Amino acid sequence: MQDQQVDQQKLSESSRSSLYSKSMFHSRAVIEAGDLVISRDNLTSIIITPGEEMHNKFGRYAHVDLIGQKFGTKLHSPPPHAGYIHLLRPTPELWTLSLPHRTQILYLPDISYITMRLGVRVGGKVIEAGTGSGSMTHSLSRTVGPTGQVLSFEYHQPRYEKALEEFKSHGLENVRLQHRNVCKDGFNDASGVEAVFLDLPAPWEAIPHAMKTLRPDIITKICCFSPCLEQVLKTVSTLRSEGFSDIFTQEVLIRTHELVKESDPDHLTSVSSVVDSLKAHEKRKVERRAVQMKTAREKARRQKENRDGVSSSEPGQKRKLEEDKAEGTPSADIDNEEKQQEQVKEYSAWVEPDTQLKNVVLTKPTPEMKGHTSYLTFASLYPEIIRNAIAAQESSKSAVATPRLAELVAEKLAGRAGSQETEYGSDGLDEVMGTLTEEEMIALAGK
Amino acid sequence: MSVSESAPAPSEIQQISIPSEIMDVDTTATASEPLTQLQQPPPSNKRKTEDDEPKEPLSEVILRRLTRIKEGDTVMLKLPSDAIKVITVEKNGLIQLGKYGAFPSSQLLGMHYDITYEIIGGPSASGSGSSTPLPFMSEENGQNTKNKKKGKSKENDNSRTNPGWKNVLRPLKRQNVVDAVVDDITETNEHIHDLPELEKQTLSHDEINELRSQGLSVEEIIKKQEEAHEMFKLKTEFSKEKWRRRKEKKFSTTVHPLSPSIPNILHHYSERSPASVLHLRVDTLSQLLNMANIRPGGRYLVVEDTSGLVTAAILERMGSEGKILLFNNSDSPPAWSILQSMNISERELKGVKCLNWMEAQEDYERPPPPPEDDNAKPAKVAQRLRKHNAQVAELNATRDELHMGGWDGLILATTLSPISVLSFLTQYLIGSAPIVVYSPHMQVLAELLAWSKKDPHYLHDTLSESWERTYQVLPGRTHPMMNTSTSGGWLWSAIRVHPSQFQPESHSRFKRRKTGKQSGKETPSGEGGNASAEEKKQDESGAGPGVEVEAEMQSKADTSISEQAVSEILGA
Repeated sequence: MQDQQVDQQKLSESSRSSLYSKSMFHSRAVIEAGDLVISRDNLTSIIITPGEEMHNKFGRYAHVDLIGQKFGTKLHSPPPHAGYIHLLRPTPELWTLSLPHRTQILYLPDISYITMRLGVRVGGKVIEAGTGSGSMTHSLSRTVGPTGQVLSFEYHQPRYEKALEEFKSHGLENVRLQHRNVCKDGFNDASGVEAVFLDLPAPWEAIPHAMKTLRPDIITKICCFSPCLEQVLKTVSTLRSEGFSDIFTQEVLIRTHELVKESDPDHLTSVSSVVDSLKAHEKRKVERRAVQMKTAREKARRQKENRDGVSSSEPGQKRKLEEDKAEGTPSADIDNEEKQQEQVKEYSAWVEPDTQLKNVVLTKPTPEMKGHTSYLTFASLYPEIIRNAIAAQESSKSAVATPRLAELVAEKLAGRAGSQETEYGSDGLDEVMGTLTEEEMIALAGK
Repeated sequence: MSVSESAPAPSEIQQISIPSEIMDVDTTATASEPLTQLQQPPPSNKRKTEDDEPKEPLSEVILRRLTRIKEGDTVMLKLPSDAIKVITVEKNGLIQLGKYGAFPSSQLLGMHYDITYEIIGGPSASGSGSSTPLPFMSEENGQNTKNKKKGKSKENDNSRTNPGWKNVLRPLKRQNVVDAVVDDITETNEHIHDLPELEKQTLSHDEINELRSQGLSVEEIIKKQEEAHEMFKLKTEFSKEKWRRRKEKKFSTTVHPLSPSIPNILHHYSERSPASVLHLRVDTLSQLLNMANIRPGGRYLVVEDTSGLVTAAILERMGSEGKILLFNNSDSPPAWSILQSMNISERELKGVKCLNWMEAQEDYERPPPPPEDDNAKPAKVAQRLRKHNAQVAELNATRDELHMGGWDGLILATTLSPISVLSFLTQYLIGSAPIVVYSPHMQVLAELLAWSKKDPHYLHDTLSESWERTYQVLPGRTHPMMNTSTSGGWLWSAIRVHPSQFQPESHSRFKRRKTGKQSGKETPSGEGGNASAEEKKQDESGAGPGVEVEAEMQSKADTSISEQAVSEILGA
């Protein structure tokens, strides 16, 4: 569909990008060579490379034919293939659904919640370890924008190489990927970081290293992503002893709902309409019966006539029979019975309320959902100046020991000698105030 | 920032011509003027021309707003009781918090948000170790506590006499956690009886006030309480800690200025007036922002009735770079009560525009100003006309931008009918743009889903619901919180796509085969350019393999059907 010149021009445009390809985050309406395009229908992603073909159960498509198509186009495969694909502009959310899994990945509910709670902002600098399959990395890269930076760390060599290649071809220029074991070797020269996301088997090992990278002038945040409660306990304990505050642990899940098509014809039918249809049915039955009996008699009569060869005074008889039949219909009996019953009943006749239930759109949750991904443990580190002020407060307090404190200390030594000192973090937003135990602890430490 | 203004009578004249000698240059922009940019006006170019004054990066402005308190800011102060008092920070004001004490509001200037501060006696009040200005306070703040002028507000009337003036704030040192394992606990609650007469043994309110006036600290008061509590020693360490924490909440004098961050603001409003934010919850909002692919430089259509919260959240994700177009039910600009409490500067709001629904219609024309009096001064008349024309120009610029299309996303959190809104606004979205609709009612979105499934402009339409749970993580006492929110509302999301305009030969062949299985439907040829209903019918009924895929994306059964179909055709 494109003429050769246009293709050539597009080719030259795509070749001018040097190290990084074009950013996958854009608002261009039309597909160009080098673009990452995601087909929603089979969740595959391709980078438009003239000369290549995409062939799958949805058809056969030459990449060149996709150039010049609008993003969002529903494209039918050229014959003889049936089927079509939707050509979609990549977003981190679509990428999450289509990316090649190298590890267990993060999905939308966790990614969005972490981004929100960590306060990831445009122009901010964040750390992510480990990179894994890059699901979170793409989302962070989009959110911090061109002026921000994502420092991503992966200790697994092949995964690192794959991710490096991927980020380059997606044009994620604000992502700096490093091959490094952060638990052992720390975060290299990273500094001025505002938020740290740790998706590691032992985040507590990386927390002390992560602290060194954090910006000292503002409140900075950390999130540890662990599937097991045992890991959470260790993480929380480390966060407390390292001086983090406002520690809280959360889980976020998502449940999808789908439309229900009720195939049952009686679905949400009213009783009165069932009664009506039963009545109609019964009426038909009776009529049919009458016809059957009539035919049977007719038949018998004809047989008799055939045998006798003479017709008797049949018509009169038949009419009489029919009249008998009409009088003795069961429906008439039922009517009579109903009338009798109504007289017996004390309450008024049943009136069915009018409802719109039949028109209601029905949904039900999809049969299966993710029941657990990981626990998200968040914590804040106060600015250095605040931490110092608190520390200063601590030392001045222990200097002015009161008699009451001495008394406390004695009691303390006798009583709670085994307890260990850890910074107390409030659970969630529920702030906890006071310094009593603290004072006791200092006193203890002094002794 | 709104361009809407009412005019008394409808008219066909869009713009009034004014005598050329007094005509302004800026009145030339009209709807008829062709725009040079086609599908996608790059917002970055536009911004550059507007912001020529040397300014610090917007991201720094936003960061400062969210981290430090400055003069004139509206600040939510969380009190020990978890109640929130909203104050305005002034240089000369006294913040009085009843039993939690009082302190000069200048103490808050330059302070970090989201940290709990103790209200303590200032340098002259007590001779304790804190007589020198605390290291985290600037020089200016230290002076303010000593020599402030009497302000104009009422609470300053007793400025010199209120002891609160001498109080200062300092970061609170938090209590330790009892770190024991369950096995170590020997005490049980076997002998604890929570009888009312035992409660009486604790200190009365008056006694506590008495102690407080003697200058006893919180921990000392609590210690006294413990002594009075006969059963206290019987309690387990855990329950002792719990008891102390409860008492501390009651007696401590602290303030916690909440940063105007989206989670904080949303938390506050969902406690105070959940209806004003349509019962939105932070996890649902976070999903809305990600699903809508909000990014700096993007251009979004937003219809919201959350008092500005959703707009603020989108704006923050954009770093205020790009454009938001809001739609409004009334003639006057929307009352963004929440936006106003977030200390957002005019500069951050530059990219936010607003149209009311009438103005958004393509056939709308602003009526002319009322006829002038014959003996009105020509200068005045000209001035009025200039003003009118400027307004019309601005309105038309916004209208044109909407109608040019190419918007990056559509976000709804509204009480209006989403089907109605979508049927009007989807046409202005760029291909592959995400659409996200929030509603506190699932039924509304179920209707929307049933509708969107029949419209070929919506792909991957899904209805989802977020669930969240908070855990108490304490040594030996880890469990989910007892109380939790039941629902954060529902989200419907989809991708706007361009429906196919043609039906390939192979496709109709396939369809003929399938009609036996599908409840036999007819095959219209897809010539309808933008008649969505027609196309939809085609898609729905022209049951190709893709239709099934479209309807049930992940269903393996469906893909196998299409596979089978392909092989059938190949074989044939």
